[in-house]
Amino acid sequence: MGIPAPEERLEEYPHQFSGGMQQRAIIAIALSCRPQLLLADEPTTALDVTVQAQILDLLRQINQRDGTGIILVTHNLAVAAEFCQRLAVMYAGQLMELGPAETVISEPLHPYTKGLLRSLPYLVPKGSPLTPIPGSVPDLAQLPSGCPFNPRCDIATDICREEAPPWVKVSSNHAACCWRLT
Amino acid sequence: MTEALVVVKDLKKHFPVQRSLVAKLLTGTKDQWVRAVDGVDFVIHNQETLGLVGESGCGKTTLGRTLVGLYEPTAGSVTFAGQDVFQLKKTNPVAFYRQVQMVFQNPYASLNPRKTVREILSQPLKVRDRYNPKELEEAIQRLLEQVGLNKYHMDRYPHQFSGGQRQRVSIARALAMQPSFIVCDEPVSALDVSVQAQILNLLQDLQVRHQLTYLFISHDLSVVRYLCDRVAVMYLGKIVELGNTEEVFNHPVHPYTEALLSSMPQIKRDPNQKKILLTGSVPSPLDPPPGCSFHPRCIAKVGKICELESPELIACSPGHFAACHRGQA
Ligand SMILES: Nc1ncnc2c1ncn2[C@@H]1O[C@H](COP(=O)(O)OP(=O)(O)OP(=O)(O)O)[C@@H](O)[C@H]1O
Ligand code: SF4
Ligand SMILES: [Mg+2]
Repeated sequence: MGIPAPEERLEEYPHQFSGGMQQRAIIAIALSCRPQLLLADEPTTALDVTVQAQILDLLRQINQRDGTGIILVTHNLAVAAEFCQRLAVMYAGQLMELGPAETVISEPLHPYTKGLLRSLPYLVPKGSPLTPIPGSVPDLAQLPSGCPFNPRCDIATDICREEAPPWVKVSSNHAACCWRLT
Repeated sequence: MTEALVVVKDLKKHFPVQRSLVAKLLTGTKDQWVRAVDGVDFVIHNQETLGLVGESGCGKTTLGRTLVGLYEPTAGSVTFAGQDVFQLKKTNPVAFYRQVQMVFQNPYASLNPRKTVREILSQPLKVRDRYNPKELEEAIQRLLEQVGLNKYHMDRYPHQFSGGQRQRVSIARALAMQPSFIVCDEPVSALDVSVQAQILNLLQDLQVRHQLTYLFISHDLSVVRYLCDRVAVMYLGKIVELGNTEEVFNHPVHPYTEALLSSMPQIKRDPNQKKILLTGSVPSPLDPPPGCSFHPRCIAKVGKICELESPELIACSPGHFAACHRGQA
């Protein structure tokens, strides 16, 4: 897994490992049973980008060689764009958009997906503020009626506050759950 | 802007490897040391944001903790506004923590789960000043407002907050002492991009309002590029490159920096960009290789000198420093 001096360090406790080394140890455990489906929940969050690239490369090999399906859960849109074939965007426990990763990033349909992409510091000049989505995630026990995203959505209309939105397909493999696409 | 606030001189922090007595008797080896920080020199200018990036485990957190006096240096020194950090912390801890604070890597673990936000924030406030109960209440409220929370959050426990809110609480706790220098250790790594944008806006806002100086540790190079005035690149306990952020991103000099920047995941794919996948494993900080510690993985080695002599961090253009024999004839 690329942890230096494994023999000496076998006897150490997790707190003596750096954040990145802890993560690699966990990935080693998951891969040791050769699964058919691997749920990788933020597998590279604590890692520097060179180790991240190595680990994603390793996961890609496992996917191609053993046919292991991978669900990669991540906050990092750039990692998702580079690694995944398809991308699902979730908000407050519900799926909001699903499509080919590249298309979802370059032509997002759902206002939440658009809001996430607008929040990125990518190409924002130093000193100008970033553009987060206003408000915050609702309490999952008290979801608003209609679309769960409606209180934070800049294009919400009355129906968005009243009824759950339908899935709208814009192409054979790209769809989103939003009234404003109907 | 160019006045030095924090001066780090030949700083080293080594940790003993703790092994059981039996293991020592069996293998017969002596005590070993993890050379987490192994001789770094740099300054942080007043009111700047200095980024610190580098390999996982290269010593960024250790360096940050040593700068705020949480670790005693093994060798070398850190001075803050001309005073030795570790001396100042020992002789006058209150004065010290009024100037230097840290926001930690993990917002889930760094707040005491059994204390309410009121208790978490009263502690540093009481250390700083004498307050009557009403003033204390107002001071807590002001702190919460500064980080975008409000008085309704005062009597909640950390687990009742979202990740972003918790990170706001730890920022409020750091601000309570009204410091001038804050080490932020991956303050946004665990957050989704929208909350990350909120926290980054907050940090910039506070910097302007309170004339803060930041050391910002992060793996997210796009965040570092956006936020930091200068950036330092660390590899195996040493700083290998340091310079203005745009200069380093556009014209990296050290082969490790080149590999790091080329591995940066891109939201828009650039077909011309090739990733330099580093091969070999990260060398052990227990026993760093001789010469340049990057040489076993370097694709740009210039000869025997790389294996024999440790390159010094010297200026390759004004304000841009690198530690690499390539180009240092
Ligand atoms: N208290 C400790 N005792 C012994 N070794 C330690 C201790 N803290 C850190 N180390 C070791 O020092 C080295 C540097 O660790 P550090 O946490 O500073 O790295 P880091 O650059 O912050 O890594 P990451 O990017 O993964 O957070 C690692 O090899 C780590 O295992
Ligand atoms: S000193 Fe030599 S081995 Fe080290 S980075 Fe430079 S070229 Fe590579
Ligand atoms: Mg760290």
